[in-house]
Amino acid sequence: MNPALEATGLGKRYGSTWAVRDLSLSVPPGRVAALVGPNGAGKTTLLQLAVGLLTPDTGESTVFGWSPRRHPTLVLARIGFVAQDRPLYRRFTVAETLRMGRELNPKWDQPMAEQRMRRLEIPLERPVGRLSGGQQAQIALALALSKRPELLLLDEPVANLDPLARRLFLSELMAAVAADGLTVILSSHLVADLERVADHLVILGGGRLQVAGDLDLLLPEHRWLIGPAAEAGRVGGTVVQAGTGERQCRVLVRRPRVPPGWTAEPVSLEDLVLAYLANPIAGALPMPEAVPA
Amino acid sequence: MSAISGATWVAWRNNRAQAAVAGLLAAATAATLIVVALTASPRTGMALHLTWIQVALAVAPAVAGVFFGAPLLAADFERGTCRLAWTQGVTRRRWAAAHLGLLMGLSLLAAAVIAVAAQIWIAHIPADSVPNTTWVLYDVQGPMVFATVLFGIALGAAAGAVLRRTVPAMGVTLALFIALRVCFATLARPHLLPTATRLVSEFKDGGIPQSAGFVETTFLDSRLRPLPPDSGFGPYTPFRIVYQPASHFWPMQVMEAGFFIILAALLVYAAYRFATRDG
Repeated sequence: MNPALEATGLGKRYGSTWAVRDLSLSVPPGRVAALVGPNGAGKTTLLQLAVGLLTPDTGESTVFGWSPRRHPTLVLARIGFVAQDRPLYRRFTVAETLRMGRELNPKWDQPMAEQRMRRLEIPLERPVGRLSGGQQAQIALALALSKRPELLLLDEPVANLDPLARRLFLSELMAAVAADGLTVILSSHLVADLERVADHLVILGGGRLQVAGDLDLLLPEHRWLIGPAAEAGRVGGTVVQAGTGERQCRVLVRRPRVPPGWTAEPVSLEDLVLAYLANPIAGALPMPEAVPA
Repeated sequence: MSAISGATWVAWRNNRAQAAVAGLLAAATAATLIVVALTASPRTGMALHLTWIQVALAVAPAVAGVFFGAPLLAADFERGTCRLAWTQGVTRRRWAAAHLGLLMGLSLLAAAVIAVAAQIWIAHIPADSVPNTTWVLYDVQGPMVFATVLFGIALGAAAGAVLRRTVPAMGVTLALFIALRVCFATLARPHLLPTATRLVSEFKDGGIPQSAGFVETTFLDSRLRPLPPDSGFGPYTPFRIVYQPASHFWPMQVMEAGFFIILAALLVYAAYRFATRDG
């Protein structure tokens, strides 16, 4: 089966600045992928390239094998997209917003959309602009889900929401994933939000891909190594982040070889993400590597 | 409006308030013209209303372009809602076509109504109440009104698609509308058709042809060479008249109106091309 999203040599430039550069990536179907990176890392650009809102300057991307440039209708029928700031027509009522979805999408599921609004107690006759931020986010999600996508892409969907609305949004999202088995790519710079939902991690830094892979592979590969500071040079593996104390040091290492006298501790998702963000040169890509001698 | 569907429904729902205001303004303009035509006293009334109606009809296309053309696409880009619209099931081409089709369809209707009303109003002006009525009213004749309303709205839509910001698009629409109309009227219009020339050896009635437009008079010396502008002349000084004869009036109307209608069509196409570019 084709990857839900695949990019090869993807690049997008604004003037002389590359927002996304030489990016190759493959997100398998069925994953909930967290797209992480600091502001300006290229998350929004990557998502907009993926859905065809932007045209790449180099390389290309495909959704289930279809290029958004060459087969826009095939891609549009397969994706649901919640853009940054969750844009909606504020003067439309909720019912009119759902009608928009029905008018524009061949696979639109009106009963599902209405049921979702009822369950969330969002009044259908109310103008969207007069609803709370959390309710607007739910409408944006309902709009994306009711077009029955195979790949759902969300750009900072819970930004600027209060903790309760954030939790409700993510649980609605996870319920939909559980029910339909769709692939999700969601960007955020808040790792805590992603910890509960993601099973795949993509870290961008400076427009380049830094880390990509399934969490159940990535997390066990990484270890905190703790040992005497004087022997830090003996740590084997790829050092992602080294914190030196006076006598002891903690080193986050990928595929470590643990020197005698050192202890190895498991790494949390947050540790992993923060270590890579703090060290933009480090990378952990699922590519063939030279086998260590 | 339940007969429309798809992207056109969304375009209509999203712009129906503007469409309602525009429709009311167009209806009010047309009604005013017809009421003035039918009720004003032929001599004093018509002459009194002439100036402000001319102004209103000259301003109407610019207003239409600034307030109804420019925001159509610009607002979607400015608010980021294009990213919502373009990731539904229809392509951005369908999206742009639906918006521009709706806009130009309604504009065609409004322009036709105002143009017909203007023609009715002109038909009720007594020929001798305003000197040289035909040429004085060149800009408010039906064909010109129709063409300039379409041109103004298409210009606004194109500016909105290119600039993608409502207020700058409104400003550019106004500036370009005035510039193009003034340039055409002053530079191109007098030469749309070849002028006629008449030599008159005595200044008397009938020297100037009936209903001539763009009349230019040059006094000549006895060898029929132009006199310097400040030289004196008497009743027997010969002079030369260069002018557009009355028979050129309607052909010129058709040419100028046609020019602006073609320009409007090109601008709509430009708006379509620019509106489908990456957001």
